[in-house]
Amino acid sequence: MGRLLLRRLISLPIVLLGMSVVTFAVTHIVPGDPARLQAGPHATEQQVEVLRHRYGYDQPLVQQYVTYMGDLLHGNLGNSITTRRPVSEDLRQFFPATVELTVAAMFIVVVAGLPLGLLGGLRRGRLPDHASRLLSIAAVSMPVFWLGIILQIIFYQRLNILPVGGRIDPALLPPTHATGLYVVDAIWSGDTVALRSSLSHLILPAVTLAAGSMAVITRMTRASVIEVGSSDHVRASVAKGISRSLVVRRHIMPNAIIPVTTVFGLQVGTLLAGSILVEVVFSWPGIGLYAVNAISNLDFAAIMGVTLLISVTYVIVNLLVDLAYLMLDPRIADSQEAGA
Amino acid sequence: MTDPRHHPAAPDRGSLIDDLLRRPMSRRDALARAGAAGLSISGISAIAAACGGTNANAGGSSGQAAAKVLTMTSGATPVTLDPGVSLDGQSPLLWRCVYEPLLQFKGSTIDVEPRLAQAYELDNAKNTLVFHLRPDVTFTDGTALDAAAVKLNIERQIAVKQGIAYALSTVKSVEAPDDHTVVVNLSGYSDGLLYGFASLYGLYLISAKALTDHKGKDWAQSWLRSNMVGTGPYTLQNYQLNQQASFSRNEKYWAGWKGAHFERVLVQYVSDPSSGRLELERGQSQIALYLPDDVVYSMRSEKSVTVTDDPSFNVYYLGLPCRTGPTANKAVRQAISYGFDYDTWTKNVLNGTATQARGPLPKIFPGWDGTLPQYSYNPDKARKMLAAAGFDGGGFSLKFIYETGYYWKRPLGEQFQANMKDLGITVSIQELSPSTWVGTLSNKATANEAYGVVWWPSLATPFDFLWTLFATSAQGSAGYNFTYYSSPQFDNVLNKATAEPDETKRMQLYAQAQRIVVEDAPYIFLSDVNYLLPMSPDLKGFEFNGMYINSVDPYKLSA
Repeated sequence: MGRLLLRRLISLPIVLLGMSVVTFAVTHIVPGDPARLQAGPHATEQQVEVLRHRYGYDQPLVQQYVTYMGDLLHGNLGNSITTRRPVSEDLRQFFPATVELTVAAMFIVVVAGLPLGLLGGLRRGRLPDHASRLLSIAAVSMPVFWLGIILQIIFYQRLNILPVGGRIDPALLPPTHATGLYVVDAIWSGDTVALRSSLSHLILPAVTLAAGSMAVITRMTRASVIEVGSSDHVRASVAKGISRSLVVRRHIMPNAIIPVTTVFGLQVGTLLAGSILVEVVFSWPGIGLYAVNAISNLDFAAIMGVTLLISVTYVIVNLLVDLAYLMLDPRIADSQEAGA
Repeated sequence: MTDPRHHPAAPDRGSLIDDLLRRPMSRRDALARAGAAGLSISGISAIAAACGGTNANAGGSSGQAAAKVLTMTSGATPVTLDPGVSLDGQSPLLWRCVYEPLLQFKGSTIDVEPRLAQAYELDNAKNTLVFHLRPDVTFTDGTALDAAAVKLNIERQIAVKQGIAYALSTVKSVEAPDDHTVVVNLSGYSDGLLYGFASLYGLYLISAKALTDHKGKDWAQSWLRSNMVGTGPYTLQNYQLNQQASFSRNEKYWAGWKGAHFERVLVQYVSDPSSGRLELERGQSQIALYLPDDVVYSMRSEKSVTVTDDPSFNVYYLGLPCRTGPTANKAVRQAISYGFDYDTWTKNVLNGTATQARGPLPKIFPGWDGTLPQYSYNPDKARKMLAAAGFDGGGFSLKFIYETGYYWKRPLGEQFQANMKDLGITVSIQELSPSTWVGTLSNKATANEAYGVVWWPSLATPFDFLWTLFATSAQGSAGYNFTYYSSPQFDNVLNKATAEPDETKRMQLYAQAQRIVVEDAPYIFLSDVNYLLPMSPDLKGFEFNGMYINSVDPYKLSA
């Protein structure tokens, strides 16, 4: 495990360097004039030049990249020409919102997807299996933005039981900032009004985001349960007369969950990517919305910042998945040791 | 012979699980399931309680909004809370809650009247502009609005070289002979100067103490990006970038609080237009800004919503490349102008919310000339003109580019494509991101595309339209003349006009300049556009002024 950790930590800066070069090159190849765009059509040339100079756009490209990387080593991600403030400040505000949404979606994926998959696997060919299959197909077929709008119409416009978007009721002040996760901050500060509002605002976007991934996990779990359920050790457990809940809990699920864990790790990347559309539909002020605006405005510093942050997050999440994999199945660690 | 007990026939794999499930439930299993059910019920109850809270809040806040809280949604986010450094269209909505200018436009007109100044005198002979300040105004930090504060604000605006600084180019120096008199010494006459103190982007007055305390190296821009200290009716309570802004009543506002004013103002930023629409229709908000045109058109039939429909100063144009290609020929551009179907554009595409433009200025704007020639849809004439210009049957191509976010530009491109096909001109359409669009057109070396553009004035002078869109010095990134049209005669007339202090002569010069560009047709002058704003039918006090587009004065509104 230690060797795995070390290998990943060494590869992280290499990954980030590669991402930074590619992203920088691609954003600068695309023709654009972010200074003129941000200055506005009424701005004079002098005003546009002031903006260009302030954000370093009048420097040669190589100089811009070297300056950026030099600043990055000191923890400075540059300034966003769109928000007119440090990118690090923007990321500190917007990233927790995406984390909150993604974690909530992951929670739904696990809480709904695993039991549905288990039910489908245990009741193969019967009504619960068919229902679970239909639900999964529907969930994976619906475009995220369409599902989100439909849920808004049903739960906000028609039933008026959930809000249409945002993170919190605009009439309320956000909870005292500790983590930037409104639910956690509200619990931490004991602000029950903010907690209720944050939870209610989280439901629809989290369900929308979770739908597709939940379907994948459900089907994966079902297939895995069926395969493990047919294995010799389960047959032996049944033959010994062990109770069914114990067989499911101790013999089927722990083994069935191993391949599901790998898929789950990949789904985190899907959730992060899918959050962009969900954030637009629900006006959720996260990294996705920030990235969309940054790309539209060719805000180089913001694009670089978002790319690097998502790269780091993805690498860390996959590392955690691999570690979880090792913990779930010690044989994998043994075989890696033997191989080494 | 094998003992069947040791080698049973291989069972059906699937039946193992079935067999498992047929077993009776043990007491432990039953208790475990009951506990899980109990936890689930508790969890669902907690979520339902949260929803129920939202429902109550929804009803409650709707009631509260009608009486005390003005809620607005906006589909476009602001750039900065600093009123001196940006010309974007979204930030002024927030500025006007907290900051005030010295002058303002009266009602729905472009007549200038005092606001924080109680009187002003512009003396063209002496080249001075004198403001007499109201004596009873304080900033929300308790400091007084005095001549020194105004002087500092003007100097700051000029020094930062952003925002409305370009309108103050004739300011030589500023004096404060007493606490309530400000004398601005000028280098000459400029017809945009006065409007620089009244414009939507005009000089808003910031607390001198705040400017001094946080001056740093950037004239307090870093601090003012997220802080506001003004004299206006509201104070900033909370600001979450791209999320929301909330303001509460400034109890010491100099104009007082008699009447049914809102006590709080909330601005919510919604990235999806359906959300903004739903909130307005449900009564959760009173105004929905920056909704797409097609959404607004469809809301006009909703009973729960009022959609204003006022003539504005916005004009739509279709720019033609004037530097290279067949459209560098004036006759070709004129032919194209005769080949565009203006009726279809204004009545069908724009849903009857526009009228065909006559020249580059909007009809209700000072300097508009009703005697200007106007192109009409006449494809036969257009074909004959093309043939006379050496392009019989058209036979060339144009590329029309537009940027994401302007909902009318794609239909414009499609109509242009269809109309030009009748003339034998092939038009391709390409959508670009906003930055790429402006980068492509502002590159003088390579720009060669047709494009749609809307213009609205920041200063109430024809110069605002004419210089930016037609002047040689406004080509490329210097202005917004992406057609690269150039006429020394036009430039000469325009420069004379803006420096002419006599209003009659000035307007004659502007009329002459307009006649030149109509003749040269670097743009198809598409339409004067009405401004449509969806709002609650219960909202009172809204008065549209084309100079304050996409913003409101919340102090004047009530429910």
